[in-house]
Amino acid sequence: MFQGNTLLNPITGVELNSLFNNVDFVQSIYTTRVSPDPSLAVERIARFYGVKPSVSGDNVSDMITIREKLVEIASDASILYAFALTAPHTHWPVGKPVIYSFISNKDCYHIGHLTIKEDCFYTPTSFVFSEDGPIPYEWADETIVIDKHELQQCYEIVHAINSNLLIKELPIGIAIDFRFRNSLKKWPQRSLEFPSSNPSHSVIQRGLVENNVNLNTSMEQVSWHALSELLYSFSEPEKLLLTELSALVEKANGVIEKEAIISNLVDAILSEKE
Amino acid sequence: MKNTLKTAISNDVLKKVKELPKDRAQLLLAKLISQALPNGSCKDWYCAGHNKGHK
Repeated sequence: MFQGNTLLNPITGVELNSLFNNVDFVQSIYTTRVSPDPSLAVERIARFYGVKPSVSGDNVSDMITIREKLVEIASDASILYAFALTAPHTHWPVGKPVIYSFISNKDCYHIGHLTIKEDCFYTPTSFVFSEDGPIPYEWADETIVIDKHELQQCYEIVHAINSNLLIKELPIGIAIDFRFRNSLKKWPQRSLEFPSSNPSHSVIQRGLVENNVNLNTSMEQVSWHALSELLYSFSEPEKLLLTELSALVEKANGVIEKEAIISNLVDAILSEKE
Repeated sequence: MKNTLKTAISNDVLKKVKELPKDRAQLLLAKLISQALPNGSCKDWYCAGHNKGHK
């Protein structure tokens, strides 16, 4: 049996291919943990907890638990911006690894069954939990640069979370969200994943719903924030401000307007504080 | 759409948020976003009819 803890490291293309020749490894991921499409992944969470996750995920007990453990474990709270909780899924046949690659001239990522170069390194970024330690199910190739120290911090936290969970076969996973930023501690960038004309991969674009086209068909929420209530400890004036802002956002006409309001708010506030 | 903020948020509220230290402002925004917007979404390939039969 493979040992999941040994997988919390970048590995070469040769090692990655070899991993997928290991029947135990492939079965451990795809038999029960990673669903064959996003809807099934979310349905699996809904069946397990008796409720479909809300936008915040606050109605799923283990999301609350994992978020609280993240706060307990992380010595530096800013590293918590690195994480997202996921509904683990794939869009491709299960026999080959799923790879992220950054396409710099198009400012987007490809994700899917990309060519594996034997002598290049692949960094695990998405994980499911198991008795044998966290098991990766998506890797970033060398076009994606992640700060080594921050990555190591994330791996230690993912490992500790896995060790702390009482039930290891959860329908929830955890991902390191490296998209469109040069530090995992920086403000997360919003992005969306779309099918590509090439069926072997999809495309992840930067930005908001309003900037993207062809959104008339269904979108499935497949990841949730990782920040616990324990982290906030809002003062009374802060709570009042939050209430005012929340009421304002709730008045918005649909998700596009909500995104626009929040995006402008983020720009207005954080850009002045850089 | 870029004017949405100006029309939607009073200067008073905006000023109060801007006066917060950066880490507190970030947490306030993080909480606001987590309540209002999906963290990450993808198009449902098979519902959308894309890449159908590709599995």
